[in-house]
Amino acid sequence: MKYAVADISSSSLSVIIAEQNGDMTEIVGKERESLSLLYYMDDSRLSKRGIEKLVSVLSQMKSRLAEVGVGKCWLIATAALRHISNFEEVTDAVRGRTGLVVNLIDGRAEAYCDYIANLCYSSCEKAVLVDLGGKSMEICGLGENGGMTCFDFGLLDLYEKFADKIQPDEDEAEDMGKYVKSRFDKADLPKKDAYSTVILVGQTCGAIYDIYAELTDADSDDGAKTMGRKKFFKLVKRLVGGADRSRLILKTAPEKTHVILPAAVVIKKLLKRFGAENIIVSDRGVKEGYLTLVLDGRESGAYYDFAAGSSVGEARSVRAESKSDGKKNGKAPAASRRTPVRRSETAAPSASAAQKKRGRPKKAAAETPAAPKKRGRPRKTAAETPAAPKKRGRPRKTAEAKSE
Amino acid sequence: MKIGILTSGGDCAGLNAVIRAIGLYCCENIAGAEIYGIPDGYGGLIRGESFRMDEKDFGDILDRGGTVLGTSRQPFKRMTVEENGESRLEKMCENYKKMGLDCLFTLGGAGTHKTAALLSIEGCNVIGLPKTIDNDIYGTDVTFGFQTAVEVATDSIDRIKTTVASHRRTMLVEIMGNKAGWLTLHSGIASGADMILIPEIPFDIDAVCEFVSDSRRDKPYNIIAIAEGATLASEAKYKRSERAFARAHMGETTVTRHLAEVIGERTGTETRCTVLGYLQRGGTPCAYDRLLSSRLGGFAARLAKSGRFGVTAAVVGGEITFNALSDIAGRYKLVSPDCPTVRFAKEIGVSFGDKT
Repeated sequence: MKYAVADISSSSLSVIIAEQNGDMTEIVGKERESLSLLYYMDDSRLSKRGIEKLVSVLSQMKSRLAEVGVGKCWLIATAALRHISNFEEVTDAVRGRTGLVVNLIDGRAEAYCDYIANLCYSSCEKAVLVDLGGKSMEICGLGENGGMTCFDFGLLDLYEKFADKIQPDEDEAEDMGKYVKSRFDKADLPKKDAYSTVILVGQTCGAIYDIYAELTDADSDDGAKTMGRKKFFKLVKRLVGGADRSRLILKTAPEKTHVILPAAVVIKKLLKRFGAENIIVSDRGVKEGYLTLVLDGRESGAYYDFAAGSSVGEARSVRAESKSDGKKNGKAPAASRRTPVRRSETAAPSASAAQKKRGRPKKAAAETPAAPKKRGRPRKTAAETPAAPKKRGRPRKTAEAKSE
Repeated sequence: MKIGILTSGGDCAGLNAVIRAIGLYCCENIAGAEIYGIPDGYGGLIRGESFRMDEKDFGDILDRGGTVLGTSRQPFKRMTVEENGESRLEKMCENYKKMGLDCLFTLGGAGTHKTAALLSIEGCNVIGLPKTIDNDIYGTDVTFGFQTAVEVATDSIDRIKTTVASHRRTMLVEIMGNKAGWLTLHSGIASGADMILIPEIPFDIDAVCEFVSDSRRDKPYNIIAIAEGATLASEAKYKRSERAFARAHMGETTVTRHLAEVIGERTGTETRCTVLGYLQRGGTPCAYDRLLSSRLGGFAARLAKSGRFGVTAAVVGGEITFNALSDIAGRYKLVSPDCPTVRFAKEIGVSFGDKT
């Protein structure tokens, strides 16, 4: 039987198609449709036009999946829909007009899916998995140096906080780097020599690799997408100040215009921090991990049954997630036993955090009363209130800026 | 609010109607709106030229063809190439700032939209409007200028048909459309062409000749509507530039002339070709385009008033709406060989030169 997992992100709808033969599940197809939800926001709501676009793209995707004989399809959404205020309206429209049910994946579950999808890299010496999303970032050590840190700010937040125009200038990129470093310090992220290989996950990282390949004539014929540290640093320099940076981005990943440079800055900071020399861009991410887990019965979620022409099961929601987490740990299958300890840098976003000003956050606002932050290595349960970065200058028409 | 308007790329009917609608909407609905025309498309923005426009400039241009702002072609590829230490993109961004613009309307086709997306990425508040006779802008059902061009091409074929029928000839009528065959498809069907050759459906030269000489067809003449970008099936795997190079090497200019020669040689029918060329762009817009252009222009101005930038106006399901520039830049809306219009045409006996 063929399975599909479709993921609604802040810039696209991407789908993987997998075929199960006995115990083996093989990815047999991938598709991606550009969908810049950012441009369709009315304050914190996805506009009527945005909902129309989403439904239209999903309908087309569903038709194509039916054509290639997919039996079951799970539709997941990560940060892109987590942060909108009319989530129910959107999911109702999607269900009503396509029959598809949206399963909401929160940051921690997303990181876990990434981890599961990229377990193949655990044999790499001192490897760390880095998932850079629009509204969150997850950093997860593989193998002995296990440990997971979830950041509640993502690339879009960095862009909104630091960039006046769509592409940050050199000063803004520098400020962005300083801010990222301070957040890494605060989260007590491992330093020098902790990791030698950084495995990048996420579509933005894929787009960065595409630009890198365009400039360096790198090819991934052997299936591995690797970047050299020096060449990558040169690429960052070009993205920050090069005259042709916009053309490069537009040619390679037009829907990623807002986040390419923030992503490059974050990766550079991580490479410097860890002293890592090797960069691998993984083409496996949340969709692959979710499919593995859901087929193993370790993850929940409603799916669309093409034979029946309707959805089956209950939608996965963030609220239900704590239960599934517990279950996941309780079962302790092989993969779960190797699951690193989760060290949350931040908790769920709060309204107060959205009003925080740029710069060093006030101590009182930066820490939750429940989990007072101590100096030194944080405890496993330590949590910090989100510091959703605030955009500098005149607010743009985005969910974050308008909701303030 | 300081508003700039420019028209870029090849001209077409309806540009002035859009300029008028934007201007009138802004004058009526945006307090303190200052409207500046930027001459010669992106060329004017690169040079930093603009002129103030007021209500009286918009009064009498609804039915005028071309563009009162003037236009030029500025290849997208050249936008980020440095010339004397500065790229055209940088110059445009600088001049956008110098002019103190709050919003820039760019009226143009697929290439114009790509450059508009670049400007948007660089922080300019851009709103695009879909202009092209090719109707190939992704994300919109129709573009302004297309319908007028269809009417001109249809009327031209109607006129050619009388001559062809009288002389019992085969006539190839070359219609604009390098990548997309919408104009050829629509005008071909509307004028009752016997064969329609479009870039999206590579044609087989044997199938074309067989169709022309088919004695079962009770017709002493043939009209073949052929898009300028139509492709031989045997050449389909090559790039457009490679095909053009090979053709030039063989001493042939266009696919239309090549096909006319082959048909004449193989079937023995008297075969001629006519290139409609710039006839298709010029003239006054038809009523449909005047209405569409006015609606699109007004809608785009409303987007500016509400502060929504980085988007382009579009027609989806008969309604005027918008798309993100980043979602459509660099993409084309092409004719699907399985689309209902092609299927219908085949059902009534129109050949597309393919073997099936």
